[in-house]
Formats: sequence, C-alpha cells, structure tokens
Amino acid sequence: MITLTGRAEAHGVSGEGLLPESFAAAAESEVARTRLRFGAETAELGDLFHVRTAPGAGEPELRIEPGGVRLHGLGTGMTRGRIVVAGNAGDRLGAAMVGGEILVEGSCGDCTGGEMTGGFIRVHGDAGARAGGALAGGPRGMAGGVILVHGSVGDEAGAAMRRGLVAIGGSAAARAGFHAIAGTVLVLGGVGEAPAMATKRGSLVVFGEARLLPTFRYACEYEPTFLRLLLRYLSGPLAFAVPERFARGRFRRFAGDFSQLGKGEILLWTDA
Amino acid sequence: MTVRLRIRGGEVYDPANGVEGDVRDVLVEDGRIVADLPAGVPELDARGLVVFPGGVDLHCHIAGSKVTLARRLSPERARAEGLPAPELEGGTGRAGTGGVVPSSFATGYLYAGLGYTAAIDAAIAPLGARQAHAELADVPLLDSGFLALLGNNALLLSLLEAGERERFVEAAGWILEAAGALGMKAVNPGGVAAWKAGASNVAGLDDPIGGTAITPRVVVTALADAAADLRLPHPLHLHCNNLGMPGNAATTLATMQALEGRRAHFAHLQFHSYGGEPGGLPVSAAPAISEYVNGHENLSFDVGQVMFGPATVMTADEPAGYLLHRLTGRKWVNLDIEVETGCGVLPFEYRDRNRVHAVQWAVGLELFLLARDPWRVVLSTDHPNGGSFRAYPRLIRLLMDRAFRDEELRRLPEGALAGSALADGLEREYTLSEISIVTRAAPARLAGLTRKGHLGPGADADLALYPKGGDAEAMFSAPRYVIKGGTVVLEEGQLRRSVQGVTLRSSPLYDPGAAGRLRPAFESRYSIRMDNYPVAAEMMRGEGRVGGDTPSGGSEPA
Repeated sequence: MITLTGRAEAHGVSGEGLLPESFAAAAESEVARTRLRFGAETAELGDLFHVRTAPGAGEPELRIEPGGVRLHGLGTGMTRGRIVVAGNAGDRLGAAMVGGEILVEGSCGDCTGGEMTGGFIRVHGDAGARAGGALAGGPRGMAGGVILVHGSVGDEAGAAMRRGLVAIGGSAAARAGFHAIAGTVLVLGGVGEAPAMATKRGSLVVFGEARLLPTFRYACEYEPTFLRLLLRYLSGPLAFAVPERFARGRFRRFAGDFSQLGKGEILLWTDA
Repeated sequence: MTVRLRIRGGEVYDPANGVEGDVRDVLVEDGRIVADLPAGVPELDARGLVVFPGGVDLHCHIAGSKVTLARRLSPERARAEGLPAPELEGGTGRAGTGGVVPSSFATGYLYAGLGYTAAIDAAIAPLGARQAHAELADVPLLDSGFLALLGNNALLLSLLEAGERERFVEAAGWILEAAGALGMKAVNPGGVAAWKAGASNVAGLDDPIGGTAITPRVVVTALADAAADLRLPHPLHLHCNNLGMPGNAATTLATMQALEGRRAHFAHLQFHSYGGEPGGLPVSAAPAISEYVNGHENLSFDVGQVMFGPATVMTADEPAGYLLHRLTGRKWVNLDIEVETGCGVLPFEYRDRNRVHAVQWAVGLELFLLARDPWRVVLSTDHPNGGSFRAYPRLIRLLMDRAFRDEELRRLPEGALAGSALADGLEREYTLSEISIVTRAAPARLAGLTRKGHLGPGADADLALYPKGGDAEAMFSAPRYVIKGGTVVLEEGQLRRSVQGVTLRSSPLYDPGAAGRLRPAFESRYSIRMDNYPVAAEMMRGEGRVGGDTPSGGSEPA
C-alpha cells in the first residue's frame, strides 16, 4: 500500500496517472519523483506529499490524506485496485475508470465518475455537478459501474449516461438525468428543476420532492420489482442507508421526455 | 549589439540556391543570412546534421473564429493533452493544450518543435481580421499572416454583377489592406453565398449564384485577375466548388481550364480530385488532375493530405461542413459571418478501414508522387482538416520511404485503390532536397516571401537542423536545433527561448480614392461602420510587408 500525506497548500493539481496499479512495486523515492501537472507547470509528487509505502498482499491500494492538496482527475482510467481518499477530492474523480474501487471520506468536485465504464465509487460527503455524466464536450456519460453519493449532488447528475447506477442519499440539484440515454439515477431526497430533461431512455427514481416538466406524461402507479431488488441490494451488500419505509411504498410512473424519444421514465415514490 | 553565429559543417539543403547536401557553413548576422563573417564569432557545431531553412506552412488554420470555435466544441480533445509550460531562458513559457487544435502558444511551440518558422492561415474573414491578428500575436516563434476570404463577399459579388470590374478590384484591394492580409482566398466561390441565400449549393462552375446573373466562373476569373492587378505576392488561393464530392475532379479541371493561363494556387487539391458518380463512392482522379497541373505552369497547389487519426473539419465552405455533419451525425457548429462568408466546424476522424478515407489518403499521396515540378507543390494536411500539422513528419516518411508506404497501403480496404496510380506501384521516393522544396522553398516562393525558404545572403536566419539517420519520421519529428531570426530557440531538442514573429502582409496596389467610392455600398451592407473596419497597424507585429514597400492606398486604409 502507498500512503500519500499532503504537505502543502496546493490547488489545481492533476492527479491523473496516480493509480494504485502504477505504483504496485515502486520504491518511495521512485513514487516521490512522479511528476504531476500543477497549474501551468509540473511538480514532483514528493514536493506535495509525504510518501510512505508498505508491503501488502492482494490488490494494490493507494491511500491519500490530501490535507491542503486538491487533486483533480484522481483515478482517471483506473482499471483495478483501490483508492481511499481520507478527505476531499477534486473534480473528475474516477473519470473514465474501467474497474477498481474509489472511496472518498469527504466530498468531491464535479464530474465524479464521468464517462466511467466500470468500477465502484463511494463518496461519503457531497459531489458536485454531473456525477456520472459526460465530461465537458463528451457525447455520453457513464456506461457502466456504480456511484454512491451519501450526501447530495449538484446539477445534471447522470447527464447523458448510457448505463450504470448513480445513487444519491441526499438531494440532486437541477436536471438530474439530463439527456440520459439509459441507466438509473436514484435520489433518496428531492430533485431540483427540470428532472430528466431531454432524457431518451433510462430511469430517474425520486423519493422526495419533484416538480416535473410538462413533457412527462403520467402512466400508472405500481410497484416495480426491479426497484425492490435494487433497494435491497443498496441497503444490504452496498451498505447504502435507505430508510426502511422506502421499501414499502408504491411508485407513480411518468413517461418522457416527449420532447425527445419519450422512452425514459421518472418514478416518484409515494407512501401508500 | 551585432549578433553573429557560424553554423559549422552541416549538410545543407537549400535548393533555391542550388545547394543540395553540400557540407558547408551557414553564417548569421543580426537575424539574417550573410556571405561573410569575421573569424572568431560564436559557432554552432552542425557536423552530422542536416541543415534546412525554417519550414513554411502555406495552408493551415491556426487563428480566427473557426479555431476558437473548434477548441470550444471539443474540450475533450484539449483535456486529453495538457501541455505544461516550457522552461525557457529568462522565465517560464505558457502552458496550453495540445490535441488536433492546440491552444495559441502551444501552436507556436509545437510548430517550432518540428522546425517550422512561418505559417499562413488560409482562411480569415476580413471582419474577423482583428481577432486573427491578436491571436497570431499569441503564437510565438512563427512569422505569420493570413489569406482573406473574398469569394462570397456580397459587396464584391454585387460589383461583379453590376459589371464594375475596376471597382471590384479596388474594393478587393481596400479590403485586403484594411484586414492586413497577405493574399486573397476564394472558398467554394459563390457556393457559400448561394447556401446562405437558401439554395443547397452551386453544382458547378456555371451555376448562377443565388438568383444573380454571375457564376463561380465569373468570380474565379475576376479574383485571379484582381490578384494580378493588385500585384499581390501570392496568386488567388482557390478552394474549388464541390469539395469532397465524388466526381468533383470534373469541376476542378473545368476551373483550371477557366483560368486560361492566369496564375492560381489550388488549396488542398486532394479534396478536389475525386472521380466517381455524385452520391456514390469516390475513386481517385489524381492522375488526370496531375497531368493537367504538370502541363500548366500557372498552377500550383497544396495537397491537404489526409492522415489517419483525429482531425477537425473547419471550413468556410458551410454547405460542405453541413453535409459532413448530416453524414456523420457528429457535433457541428455553423457560424454566419454576415455579408462576407461563413464557417462550419466539426470534429472528425479518418480511419484506415474506411474506404472513402482510404481513397482520400491515397489521392493525396498520388498528387505528391505524380507531380513533376516540386516547386509548384506544397506539403500540407490543410491542418487540421486532413489531420494535424503534427503529422508532417509521418507524411514526409510516406513520401521518402516506399517500403513504409507500401506497408501502409496494405492496411487499406479492398477496392480503395481503384483508379489509383498507387495500385500500379509508384516507385518514387522524395529526396531530402525535394522535401526541402515542398516544405520550405516552394511555399515561400509561391507566397512571395522572398526572405524565407532559402539560405542565401539576405534571407531571414530561420533554420532547422535535423539529426541524420533513422527513419524520416523520427528525423523530422525532432530537430536538434531550430533558429528563428538568428536566435537559437531550440537546443538539443529542447525549446529554450521564445521569440515573437512578425505579421506577413502584402501591399496591394490600388487607387487611394477607392475608399471614398466604396463607402456608400459598404455602409449600406455591413453591420459596422467603414471607419471601424480596418485593423490598426498597432495590432500587427513588427513589419512584415511582402511584395512592396507601402500600399498605394496609404499606410492606413482610409
């Protein structure tokens, strides 16, 4: 295992390339010499972090105690292993990751899990805009994997997502599920304006307040089996706190967005 | 203080002065090449290195609104290649982004990193000239200028329609001077105007433009005459009608014939050299095009080679941009530049397994290999339309190394070489001297840049020194030294210094009274006042007037 402990105040540091698998057999001095982009220039990892290595068995692990260092793009393209951030992370955490696991004990910035195709991200605090969404300029968002945010998220969670699950313990701001192509965004709290705007397919599940666009049409009230299973999976194996009453209610289904393909849905929980 | 440098013992390729691989010294004093230097001046050991003049890119797109749009349209490409600021003598340079359309400072660094020291943006709307000058000033290490888009200007077309040829010429001259342009460009002449008026395009050289009595033929010949009348250093730079369409070689040949001996430079000829039927698959018509060009000394061309990999279509040919958007479904931006022109931008990718792309790739190479006179050929990828300028070293290897070329040919899909001379086994391999011509001497000469592209006394001391040996791609990817205006900016492969280039602009010859005669028509058509149109000289860098001392219209357009 490698542990990095922040030793400076540094924002705008790119954590791209900081992957557990990259350092699996590296010595401390070698890790410390890794160059990271820092603003317009580069800096050695050792100038920003104290580096400690410890032998370990199993999957490679990278533990980051960021202190005053804000790392962006941490876990980009990660394929295996585990990253633990004992604090806050910056933007694009786990962007385009393929596999492995990232745990953040604090909060993180925008585009968490942007365009990921596999793997698992857990954020104990809040996440910024476009969690699981497309990165700026990208045509589609996450296409696989799981993102769990125990707190709340910013705008456009799951924007243009293609597959996968984004589960949010708190609330989601505007346009959750924006332009989704498929996949599931589940929000235990309320959602901001224009939920699932321009969605083509996919499911937005909301347990709190939601004010829908007129381009969504009421379809029915029912108890979808997949949701019961999903909630059980979240609260069980994934240890994601789901209030017990949510497992009992029914859901009102609204189809839309009819300004697009209209094959998506918003499921609003009702305490029946 | 006089700065002198003796570049000792390099293998010099300076075909403009008949030097082809001679081992000799090149002498530099105060930013120019000189014939003699006193003993004891500082020396640069060039033994074992190949010495070329600095590269000159006659047709690229590195400034202006279309480049800005391309960067905004594809942040994912910029994000993929962050470029830290280089450590330079006297301070840190500028960080930037790379990809197909690098940021401005990065563009200068990357060009210099290949040994290029001058570049011409081939398509700037005069209305956007102010921005273009500002942006070019942020591209270090390159002397640069641009060609102004005139082929769909409503004001100029109206003068042509009224049969006022003399006023047409002086108006063109005034616009060029006001914009601070090096030369004139026509893109799909009349076709863009027709598209903006609601038609799909013009189909050929004799289609009326947007309900008027004039045709692309009239526009092309009038602009070619105007370039000569205005004594421009570079002839009309022409992007023909029907870009990219199967069967467009007929239009291209008809355009060449319509010129009737007038000088013209054909832009990205590769995109205009296709046989086949409209609506079908293109096949190569490069042999027929090459045969015609070979027989007509009034014609020159840059190739616009397609390179497999990412590209960005950015073109003033709006209907072509729109068609590609419809064909590919890719994101697209269209920019309408009121009475002057338009612009379409979309990210693109050329794939070697795509038959159409393979044909395009092959056609470009044919045009290079079938050209008898390298002095009328310019190496380009129409950056970033056919691919990035960063692919030039690979393109050079394709030209110099037949075995490598044949290996690449084998990757193409079956049938892609139908009608192609490459299928018959073109054996030609470019020599270092020919590479020096198509990347330096010819573009400089064709653009009228008399101090560039050669190493004779009086030339700008812009040089690139490459290590000899290995494959050509590796060699041209990594110059050992690059010298810009007498300053060694790249040493041992590392960028060490950054210097500012100058603005390359022409001095069109026209009657100073033109502005007054043009004013009523200008004020009635443009959205800005005529007095606010000219770009002030202070916006331009240094003094890079080409082809004359001062404009006859005055040092500042009135």
